[in-house]
Amino acid sequence: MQQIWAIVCLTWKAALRFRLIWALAALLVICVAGLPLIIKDDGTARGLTQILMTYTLSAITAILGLATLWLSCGTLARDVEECQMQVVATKPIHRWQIWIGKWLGVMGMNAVLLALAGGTVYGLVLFRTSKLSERQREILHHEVLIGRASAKEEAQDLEPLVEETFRKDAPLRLTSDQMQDKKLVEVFTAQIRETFKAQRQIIRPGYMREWKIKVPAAQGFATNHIVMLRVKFMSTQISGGPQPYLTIWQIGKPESPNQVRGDKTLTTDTFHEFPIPASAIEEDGTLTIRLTNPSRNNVALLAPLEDGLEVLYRESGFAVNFARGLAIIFCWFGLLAALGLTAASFMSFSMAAFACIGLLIVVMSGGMLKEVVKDRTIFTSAHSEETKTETGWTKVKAIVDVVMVSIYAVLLQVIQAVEDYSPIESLSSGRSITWGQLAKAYGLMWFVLGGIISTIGIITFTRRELATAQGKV
Amino acid sequence: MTAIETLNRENGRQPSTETVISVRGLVKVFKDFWGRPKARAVDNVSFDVRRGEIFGLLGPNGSGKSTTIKMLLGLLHPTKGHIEVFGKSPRDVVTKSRIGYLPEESYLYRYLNCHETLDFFGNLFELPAAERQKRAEQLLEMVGLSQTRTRVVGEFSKGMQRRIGLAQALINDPDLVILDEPTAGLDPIGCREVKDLILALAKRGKTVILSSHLLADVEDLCDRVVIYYGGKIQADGTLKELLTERDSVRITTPPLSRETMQRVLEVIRKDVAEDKIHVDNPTQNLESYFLGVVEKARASAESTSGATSGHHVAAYLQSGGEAKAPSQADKMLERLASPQATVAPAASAQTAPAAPTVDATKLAALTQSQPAPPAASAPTTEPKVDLSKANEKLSGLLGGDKK
Repeated sequence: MQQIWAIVCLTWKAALRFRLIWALAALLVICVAGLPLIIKDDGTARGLTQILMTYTLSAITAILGLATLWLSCGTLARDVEECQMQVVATKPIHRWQIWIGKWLGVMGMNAVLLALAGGTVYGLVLFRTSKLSERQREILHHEVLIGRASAKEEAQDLEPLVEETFRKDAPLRLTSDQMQDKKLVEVFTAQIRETFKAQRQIIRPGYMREWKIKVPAAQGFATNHIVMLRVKFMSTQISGGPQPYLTIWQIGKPESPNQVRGDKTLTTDTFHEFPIPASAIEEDGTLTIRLTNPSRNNVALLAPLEDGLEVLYRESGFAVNFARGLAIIFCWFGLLAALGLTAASFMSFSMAAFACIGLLIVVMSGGMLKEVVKDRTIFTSAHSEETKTETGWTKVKAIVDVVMVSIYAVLLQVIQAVEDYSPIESLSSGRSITWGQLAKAYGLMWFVLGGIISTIGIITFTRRELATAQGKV
Repeated sequence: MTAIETLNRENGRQPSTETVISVRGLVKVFKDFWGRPKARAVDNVSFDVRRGEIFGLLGPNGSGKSTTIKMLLGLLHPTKGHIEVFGKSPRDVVTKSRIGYLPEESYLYRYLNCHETLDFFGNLFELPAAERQKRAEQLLEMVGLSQTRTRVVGEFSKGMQRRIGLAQALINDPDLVILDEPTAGLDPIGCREVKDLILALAKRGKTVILSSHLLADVEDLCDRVVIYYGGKIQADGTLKELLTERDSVRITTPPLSRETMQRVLEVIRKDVAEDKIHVDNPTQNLESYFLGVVEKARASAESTSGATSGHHVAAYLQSGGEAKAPSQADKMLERLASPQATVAPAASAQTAPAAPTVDATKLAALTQSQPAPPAASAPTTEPKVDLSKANEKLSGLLGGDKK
């Protein structure tokens, strides 16, 4: 441990003596303090706070993320290039200890800078909140400056219904030849699936849709516990923009004395949040919600299955939630540091930095990856025409596609897994980042992905010949 | 027999039979990106190094010395062949705790100061804080950098970097010290001090591997050498085996009277042809002369902003710490290590043939009592100054013998 600690201290000293840490600290503080002056918001306190947190946390993540990659590449690669590693590696220290020491050193620096920048954001938000009216403060503390958990209707598995309907309908609507056409069968099945989904989403005029949502922690709720309903719906009428419609709500079990009723005029295509009484939740944690589309609307409303209706309830305070959000950002940095060190384990500083930033750009262009995986080719659509005439080039393309699409598919899965733990959106929308999510994020990003990347890096570094570079000292 | 060899024998610093390093059929081929052979840096090299030996790797630039050393340290992997250091692989971490290494350049962290540098390397050896502190102080004193302990290494001259590099190599009191061009960039005083230090280490039973293309360094210090050229060992053996000219004899005496000299020459001429006899005065080498001049200047000392001359071998590098009565060998060492004596081998090696034949004028000059010229007189006319310095240094060096 003493040896690892020595490497950690060495990394910190390098960052301090080369003034990197001071430069980054200044840049972060300028960003956090300066961004609110130039960003535009929707004029509400909620909007301003949300945008403030989104922009500042994104800027912090971007700056520190790049700095992490740069520093982790540099701290190892430059030691090898400038030959100091030749002296260190001849001491009784395992190469993995050097590697881990460097990683801990970079992460120590990140911890300090993230705490500084995060603390500044937190202080700034609280400062601006203190200048608001009592009413606006209350809204903020109910909707943004809070850690709210979410409960949704349990998703129904439609596949058994889809399969059964396909078995009944397909022989009536498709010929035996059409039944052999895989693509056609896929389209037919998708249509059945969409029909079932539509049945569950559409609320026709004069009709009502009921949701039964399990709120797991409801038993511990006090009567004044903050519970919010988050709603979004569309209309089947084609219009130039969001339109207002009257909606009638019944919250709580029918015939229950705790049930509340009310009507609200809400616009389409927009998320709305309004408070509901905690007492409307039954003892077993079930919350019954009924939405009626009055006949006078004369248009069907559509509540999406994924994000049409959601119950949000206080899980933690803002400070704890904010800290957990920063902890997830810190977790990302850990992964980036491992990536940078792994690249530096076998590449020169410039190559390692270039490769890491290149990979980061690819990762950030997730849309392109999705397209490739969906189309099963990295080439343009002309490729599909070419395949009809088998040439040497098309064979090569096919092989390249098999390899690249597989790589892209894995990358996409990794990106999606990491994106699931995006704390910035959660923080700015007052969503709770639970301890469970935090643990899962660390498990996935540090122990699974980080573990794989680090193992590759450590093995490579351990096997590397360290004395081939000529010193510059 | 050279003075150093005499010194070694008198001190009982005869290398043991225990093998510290064993190298067999070592080959290193550097390859390009595509795996194609680029250079055969080391070609089928075999040798053993025994405990307590000062072993020299000698050869011109690019002959494979440093590559061999880097393979001994596990920094490069042999293409073929086998290396054992203390009976284990050179990449064994436990083995590394017994090795001190000074690379050909002092590859140190430029942003650390002297004390931090030694503290960092002390930590890598898991030394306790108090021990690190103590050793760092002693080493800085030893290498003459105690007054610059808070200056960062990046500000140092090359010579000062060598000194701190040497200090880090000794922080763990190593059993095997591998020094790649240890005197490169050092001033003559620094060179002498490093050489004294190497002798002191060997006296304690430490094994020293010295790579150099400075022949004087190797000749002054090494028990045994291998000479590289083109990656291959061209010659190996003890210095005596390699350097002794068995077809000639040198007799050195105090100044003789003209009559005595003539009688001696008469006797010799009976057996040896006139053109085979050379008579001259032994000369000291430039290093010895320089040290004398500097020592004299230091007597009226002014301070310097650079490295100072080291004064004591770090106490923990001395064997017992307690001074004991000097043995006969120690006395011999003390005498030989004084500026006049330490140069004996080099002086004798550099003694040039005076003339093909003995002429009467020269003979007359040689047999007269010589009023020493001012410059050359420094080492001989001020023996007390030199000896006091040597005594001071050697009191540290001769703390006792480990063996």
